[in-house]
Amino acid sequence: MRKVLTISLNGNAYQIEEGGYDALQAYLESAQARLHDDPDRAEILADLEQAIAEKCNRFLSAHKSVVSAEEIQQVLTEMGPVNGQSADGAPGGAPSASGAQERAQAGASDSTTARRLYQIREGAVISGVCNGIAAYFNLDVAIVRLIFVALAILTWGAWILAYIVMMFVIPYASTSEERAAAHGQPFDAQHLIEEAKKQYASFKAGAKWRQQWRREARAERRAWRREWRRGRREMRDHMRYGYPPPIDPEDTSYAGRVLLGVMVPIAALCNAVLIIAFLVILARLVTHGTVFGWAPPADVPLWADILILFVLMQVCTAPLRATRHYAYYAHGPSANVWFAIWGSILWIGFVIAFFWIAYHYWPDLAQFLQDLVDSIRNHRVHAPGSSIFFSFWQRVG
Amino acid sequence: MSVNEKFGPIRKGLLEFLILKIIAADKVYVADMLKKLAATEFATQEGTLYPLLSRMRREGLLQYEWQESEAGPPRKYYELTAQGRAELDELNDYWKEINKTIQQLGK
Repeated sequence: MRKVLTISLNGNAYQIEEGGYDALQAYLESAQARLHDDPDRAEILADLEQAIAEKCNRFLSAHKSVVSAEEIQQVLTEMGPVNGQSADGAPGGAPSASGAQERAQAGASDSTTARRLYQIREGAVISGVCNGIAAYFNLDVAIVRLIFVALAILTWGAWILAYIVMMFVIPYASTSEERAAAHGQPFDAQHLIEEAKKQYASFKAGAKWRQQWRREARAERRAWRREWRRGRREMRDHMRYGYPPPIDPEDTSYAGRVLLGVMVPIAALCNAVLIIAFLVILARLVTHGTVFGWAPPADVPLWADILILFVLMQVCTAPLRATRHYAYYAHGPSANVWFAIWGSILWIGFVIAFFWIAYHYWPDLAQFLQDLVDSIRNHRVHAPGSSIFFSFWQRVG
Repeated sequence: MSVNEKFGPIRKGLLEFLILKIIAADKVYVADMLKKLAATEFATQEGTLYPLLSRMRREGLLQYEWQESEAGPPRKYYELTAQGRAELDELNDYWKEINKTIQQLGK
């Protein structure tokens, strides 16, 4: 039993098997891509569809209403790869059937020889970065997403910026060929792990001096870690017991802990406000070249401005980080990780809540974000200072 | 590299000339052209022919008209324009020159 799909070729319905449908779609998409610069593209595609339909008719009769996948493959081999204006190679000729077949197969499957990293929009939550990475490493997309969320929390949200960069940098897989390339060859994460293990084993079996060096490095690392832990412990002890207790040490410590516990959400809120301010200034700087009326010196390049802004941001948030740090450690050595995660979730939540509320109650921003998402998806934002930013800031300011 | 491969680009270049010749003889449909070429060294496929015909039409060398067919939808039948005929004559002369050169060289 095979699944059958009904398709329309140049206005007539045909029933073809699922495998044939995939092959046909890949062929037409590749034709479309190759005819990209041809002014008569639509007409040629209609002609090709018509020719395919006529070839399919050959396989149909009163007692056979479905074109099989093998028959579609034969039709496509007969059609031959589409040669656009820019495509080189020798189209006319190659009279041998094997030559034609080779070329048809090359057209259909040369993309699977190299694996490429793409964004895959089908089933994407935001932009398809995780989807593409999952395809690239042959992993479950849910695992990749969980890793991304964990990274976002553990890096205090810096990973979100990394995600945005990836959204811009990684191309979309828009054709079947590219989607096949995104999944690529059957080498997967398992393969990579095995490869890494092999390398590790050969490294281990290497010269003795290397082992010696590694042992020393390990000892050094251990010593350094010990030192660091000691320093941390001292700081924590200093934190907790360093100040003279006013009345009852137990009681103050408890009250202090409660106070610092309350500080966590407040610090997270301040952090969120600073991040939002940072993003606004960044957008303003990139699009207008000014920050609220003040223009940075003209001879400083934009990337330097952004770097300075980033450093300033780090300086501004330093007291907050310290506060959070104290708050986390006041609750004992085992609790600090959970407090750190809780703090991160809180401030990321605040930022998301801010944008959500603004999105719903501030139409300009909603429009701006919509345009931004559209332009990212269509890759129309090639350079900073693209028109949608300008229109937004002109409307706002 | 076989002779077949060496002459690939030459066949590619000559395809347009041959199509002009085929269309000049009679109003034809794409399947007819493919059938005529199939038996020769210039056998080609729809994927190559349709884009080429479309370009030649844009250049004003040929035009097509729709004709009803007994089975299925109407088909495009191609014919040469005056410009296409002029081009064909020119190519014919040029081809004769090339042949003469090839024959005479090395004698």
